[in-house]
Amino acid sequence: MFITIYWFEIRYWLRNPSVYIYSIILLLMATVIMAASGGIFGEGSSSGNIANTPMSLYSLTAFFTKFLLLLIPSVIGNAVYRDYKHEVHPVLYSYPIGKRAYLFGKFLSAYTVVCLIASMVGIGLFIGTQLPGVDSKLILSFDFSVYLHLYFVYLFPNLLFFGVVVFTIVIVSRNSYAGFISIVVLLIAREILTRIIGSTADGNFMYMLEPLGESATDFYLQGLTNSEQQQMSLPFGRTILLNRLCWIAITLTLWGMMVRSFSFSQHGIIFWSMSRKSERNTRNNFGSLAKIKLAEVALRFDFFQQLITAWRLSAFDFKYIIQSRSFMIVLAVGILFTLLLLLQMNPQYETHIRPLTWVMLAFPVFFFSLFINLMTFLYAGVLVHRSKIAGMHQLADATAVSNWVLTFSKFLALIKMQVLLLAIIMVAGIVVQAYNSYYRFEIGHYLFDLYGIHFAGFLIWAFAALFIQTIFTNPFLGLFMLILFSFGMNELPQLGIEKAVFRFNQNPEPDFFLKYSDLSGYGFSLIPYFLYKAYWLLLGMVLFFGSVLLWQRGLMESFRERWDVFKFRFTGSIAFAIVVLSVLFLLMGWKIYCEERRSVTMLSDREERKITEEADIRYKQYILFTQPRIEKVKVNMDIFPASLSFSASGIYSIRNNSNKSIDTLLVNYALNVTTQYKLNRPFQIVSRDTVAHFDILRLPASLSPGDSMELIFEVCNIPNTLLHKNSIVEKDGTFITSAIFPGLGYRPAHSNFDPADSAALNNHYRSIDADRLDFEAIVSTADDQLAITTGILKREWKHRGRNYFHYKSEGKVTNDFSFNSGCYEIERDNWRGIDLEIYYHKSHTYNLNHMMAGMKASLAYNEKYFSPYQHSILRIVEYSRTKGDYAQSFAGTMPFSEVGFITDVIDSGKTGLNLPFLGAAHETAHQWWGMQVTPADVLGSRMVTESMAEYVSLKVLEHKYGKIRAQQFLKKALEIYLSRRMTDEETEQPLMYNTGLNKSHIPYQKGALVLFAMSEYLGEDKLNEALKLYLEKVKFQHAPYTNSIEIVNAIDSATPDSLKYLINDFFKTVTLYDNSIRSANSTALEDGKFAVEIDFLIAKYNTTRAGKRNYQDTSCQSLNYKSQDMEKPFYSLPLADYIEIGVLVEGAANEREGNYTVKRFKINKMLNNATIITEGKPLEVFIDPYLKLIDVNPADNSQKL
Amino acid sequence: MDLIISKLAKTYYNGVKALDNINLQTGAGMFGLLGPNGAGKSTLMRTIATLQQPDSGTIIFNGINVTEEPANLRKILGYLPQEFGVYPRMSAEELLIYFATLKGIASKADRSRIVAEVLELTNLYDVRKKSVEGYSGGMKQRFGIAQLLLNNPRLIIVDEPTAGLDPAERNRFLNILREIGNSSTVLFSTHIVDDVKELCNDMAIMNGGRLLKQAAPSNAIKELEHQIWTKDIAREELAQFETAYMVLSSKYNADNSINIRVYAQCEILQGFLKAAPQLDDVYFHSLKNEEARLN
Repeated sequence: MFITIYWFEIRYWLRNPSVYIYSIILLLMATVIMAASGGIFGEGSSSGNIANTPMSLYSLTAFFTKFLLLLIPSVIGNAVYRDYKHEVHPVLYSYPIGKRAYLFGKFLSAYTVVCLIASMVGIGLFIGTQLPGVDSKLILSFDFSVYLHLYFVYLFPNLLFFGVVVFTIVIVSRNSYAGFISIVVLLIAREILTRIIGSTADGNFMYMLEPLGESATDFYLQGLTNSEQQQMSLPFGRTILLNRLCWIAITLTLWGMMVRSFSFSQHGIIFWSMSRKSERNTRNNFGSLAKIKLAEVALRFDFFQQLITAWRLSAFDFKYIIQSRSFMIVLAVGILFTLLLLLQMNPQYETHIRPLTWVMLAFPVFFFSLFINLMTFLYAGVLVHRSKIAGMHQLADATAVSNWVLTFSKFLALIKMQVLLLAIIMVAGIVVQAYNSYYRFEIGHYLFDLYGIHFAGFLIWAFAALFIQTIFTNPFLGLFMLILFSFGMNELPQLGIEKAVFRFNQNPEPDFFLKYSDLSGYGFSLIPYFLYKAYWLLLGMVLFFGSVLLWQRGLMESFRERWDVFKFRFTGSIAFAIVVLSVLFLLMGWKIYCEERRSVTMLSDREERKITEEADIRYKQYILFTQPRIEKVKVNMDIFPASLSFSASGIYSIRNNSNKSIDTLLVNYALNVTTQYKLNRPFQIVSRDTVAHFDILRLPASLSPGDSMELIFEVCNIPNTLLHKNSIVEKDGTFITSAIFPGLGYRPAHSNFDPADSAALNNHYRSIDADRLDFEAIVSTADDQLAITTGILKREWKHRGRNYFHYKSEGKVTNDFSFNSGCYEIERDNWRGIDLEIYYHKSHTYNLNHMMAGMKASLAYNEKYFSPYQHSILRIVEYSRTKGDYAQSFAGTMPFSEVGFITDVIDSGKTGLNLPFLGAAHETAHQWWGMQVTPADVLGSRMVTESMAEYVSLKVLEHKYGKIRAQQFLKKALEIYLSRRMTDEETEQPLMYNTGLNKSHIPYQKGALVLFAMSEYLGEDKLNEALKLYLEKVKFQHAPYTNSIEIVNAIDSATPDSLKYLINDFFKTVTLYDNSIRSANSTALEDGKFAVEIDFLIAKYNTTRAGKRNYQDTSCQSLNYKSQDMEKPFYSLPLADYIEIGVLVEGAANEREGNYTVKRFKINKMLNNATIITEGKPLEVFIDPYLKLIDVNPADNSQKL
Repeated sequence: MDLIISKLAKTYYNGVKALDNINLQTGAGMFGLLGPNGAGKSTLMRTIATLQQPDSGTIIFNGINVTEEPANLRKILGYLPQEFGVYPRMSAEELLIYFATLKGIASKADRSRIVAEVLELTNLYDVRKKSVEGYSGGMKQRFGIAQLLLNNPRLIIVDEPTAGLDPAERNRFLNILREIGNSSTVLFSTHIVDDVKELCNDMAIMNGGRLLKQAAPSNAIKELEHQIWTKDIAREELAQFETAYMVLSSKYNADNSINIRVYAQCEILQGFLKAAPQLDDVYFHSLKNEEARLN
């Protein structure tokens, strides 16, 4: 019997066109994606990494798994639902079929079909690697075992589990949509779970719980760099095995339960809670003859009445949506997820952003857009096909209601659902705000953001969903097409279609609303956003009328018949509307397209990178070309917040400090502004590069050594257009840097000079055209704003309704400045004669005291250990987060993003660091490490600046908040460092050769870990003394400038021989430990003390230039260890290292303050044994409790006793 | 209130000729459409009810060209298909309000009034709060009538409404239909001859997509007067008689012999008795005639 049913079903599916559509689409997608990362579309589409390593195949299948999961309801769910839908089940159930044969036959056949569809992914990926045009260097040879592994460990079991869930749900509910909803719910639940797994430190158990096995796999990737991951074979081990077995067990249990409770009956499986009171049903069957005289009722079909009718009808559909059990479940899960999301906002260092309204709005929006779109796609299908599915279509279709009223009522119901779903964000946001005791509820802001901005996008999707679901008679096929379509719109730029005018319902500037600022609001992007939305809305309306024309009414069996009906209906006002709207849509599209083409706009980051990369090659010979130096800068800067523009003019006094005369002047000027310049002496233009903005000038009368001249310039922004803001000026909270001004010489984008390169040492890292100079500026702005730049304020005045400020630097400063303008309040303080000021937006008073304390503490620390502060004033200036979320240090002035002002400081409890305090301390430290000590523009310079600033802020934190906070800082730093090196695609360089702006985890996090450890090994005073000697030697120096070698040497000279290995491990190489505790136990001694005995393994390696692990020292020595229970030996570099073993002893103070009973060992072999006597009851043993070593896998460094 | 159908034709995608040059004309009152299963009755009714497009031909009701202006016909149309479902978990009252809205009843008061009236009329008022999904067959058919009446239709089309009803329900149902038929045109398809006999003042017989006969039932019966003969024969003889005569119907007697009814224009011997024609004879005669014509 089973066989009969199975083959009957398989034959059914093989005749079903949707199976072929799914297969072909997946096959094509997989092929294209693989071919693209194999470089078939040129370099743009490929990341330059090998496209089909086992791990990248793994990620690709993980991606496709989610698509396949969404297909399950339409195949496996439909397999049972079909019998209900066609009312076959009462007949079927009366046949002599065993329920087992029925269920197994139905399920396994559908599962087989799903697996066949799934196999298309693998085939597509394979084809993608084989296509002509794919770069063979990016492709590994075909390895069938990898595909087998992926299918049998991940795909097939995952499809089995989700298949059984959907099958069961459809059997129980007799509703095919419930299957889809259950997939959505499970995926959300999985998302919640992975977040929890991510946030728990020891979650071995949690790895079991994630149904797709992805978290279990991530377990094996911990601590591996990107290149290590790409070189590895697919991980498989206990955790994955257990996860898989666990979920197969759950699947089988679920199946068993379903089979047991299933019975062939008219009605679905009824749980006790749903069963109803029974009652006897007799009827009066002998009615008399009635005299029919019905009341006269008015039928009205005028336009206005039809609108009301549509609204009324939509209420029926909306009620149906919100009353369905599955929708309520989705709603509940959505609310839960949003709340979790909002409660769990965890940026760096475990601080929380204050629950401001924009924060509440920004965080859930990604998840929710997806969620609302899925619901829209699904319910568009449900509503369009609703009467047909219920079998009521003939009744309804014969009524006088117009097609457009029916279509419109469905659309309205969808819109109402969207409105309801969007309200969840608001409600959840307000709940979370109240929960956090934040009571400034900005309902207006919520409503504007949700219904003013986001709603437009959902509305347009609703039109599209309605249209597509009207075209397709199978709602699941429609759903799949819609998912594919919306996904495709996101991916179009990868295929070279970047203009938003060609991408349905996409924003010109994606996610601009996430950059909402209390200072500058949504900024300029709002207007283009609405223009684009209006444009797509026109198409949406065309689609709407298209839906009306294609609306299925009565019996339409063939495509031709529908087309005939379409033509028949294409008359009168609908035809007129379609034509007019289409014309408007095309006109507007043309207008936008022209506007985009015509207007000169700022370059995208990608374009900018391309230009600079090309210029770097073209102007190679001008790198490090001897140029005169700027000695003095005088600037007039006019900022116009109302028109979002600025104009500046200035004079550079330039002097030839070299010992040769100079006849070639190299002038570079910024890419995204309009610059004009001239010299106060004759010059000829040798070449002018209007793309890279780099000119080569010849001075007929060359500039002799010691001679001076002037460069006079004017800079303004490219004019703003309808669609583009071309300036960095904000309505409030503007932050402009002097990078917009012209400069001398050619500075390559990537200046990877060796620290020993003597020519490169002549330039410092802040600017290459000046040593230290005098600076003077008059800055003007709107009459309600203040303007701030480097230096002390000499004078301020009003002129023609504008505010003017005259600033002059105290002493000489480096050639980089900030210009800020905003409606500021000022918080003032004074520390030992230094004026401290914070310029802030009036509602951002939360963290002023922390910032002030941070400045003071950092001033105190630096003055105590290093040298006096060089200015009489130190200020923090807030700027709009639309521009960024970082802080930067200029001479005496430190612009801080508003993010720093709204961070919620929790400095009690076990977690939480005072970020505003730390940030202020860090930026203040740059006044020394950056301004006083200014390293050359060579590799490793950021160790001298950023690592030192991090070190100082960490020390300041430790002194103010105690050791436990410093430990938290380090723990987090280690976490960030390890996770960032996992994703970094390039090989990591040692700290003293660190490179690249996007590799901040090395100078910041690793730098902090390393310097803090050095201060622990050497003693804080001793290390700082060495640093002070170094600082005094290089303070305010002129060329040649210092580098990382000098500071490392300074530290080295204070390091005793026994610790010299640290200099090598920390600074000169990338060295990591992989230590672990093998066993630990404690015994109570007679005198009330405890003896803790620990076996632990120490392993250390460094990485080669190619990123491979290396266990051999320079003399090719290596250690290894293998116990009987180990398959492979562990290796290590030779050891002569100090390792601390710590025991946490019972006692409230110990746990609160992080005190350990510590014993230090000198280790020279891998397996070690130690005994530590403690006074109290030991709780937990740690290797290296104070995180002085960098361990790739910190999880196995502790053990509870 | 005249329904005029001319040259209506429809061929399905799979080649079945469901309507083959149908010409039909009728006025107010009950019009019965008789025919075996698959005769094309439902297609004809759906086509008149604007749910299907004919390949050719015209339908005009009361001056409304149905295929050209379906929206106008729908305003005065009440249609009850052979089979229908309803939205689950909705009560009769809710559903009727829904249909009243669909049918364009503008005011809320009107909607509640007419819904209450049709519920009363179809004797569903007591169960109006119950989910229609759970109604018995007869109740569901009455619900079908209730929804059909909401817009005071001038043209009512009911497709095999009595199939599967118990006798009492059938009676009640036909009575209601009869009542409505007084003031509008009711098109009523069935394969039960008695339904037509009891109700209709006009009828047509259809098979294979063709209209075989249209007449008032009484006239049609009158036409066959003196031409229907009956005889009891043994079971084995049936085949023999069927070749010799136009056997309209045959049915078993209690003693296992068979009673046949035969059409013949002149008197036949062999122990045939003259019988009074019935509507059944008209029906079968039309079908047999057509069969003979085709052969």
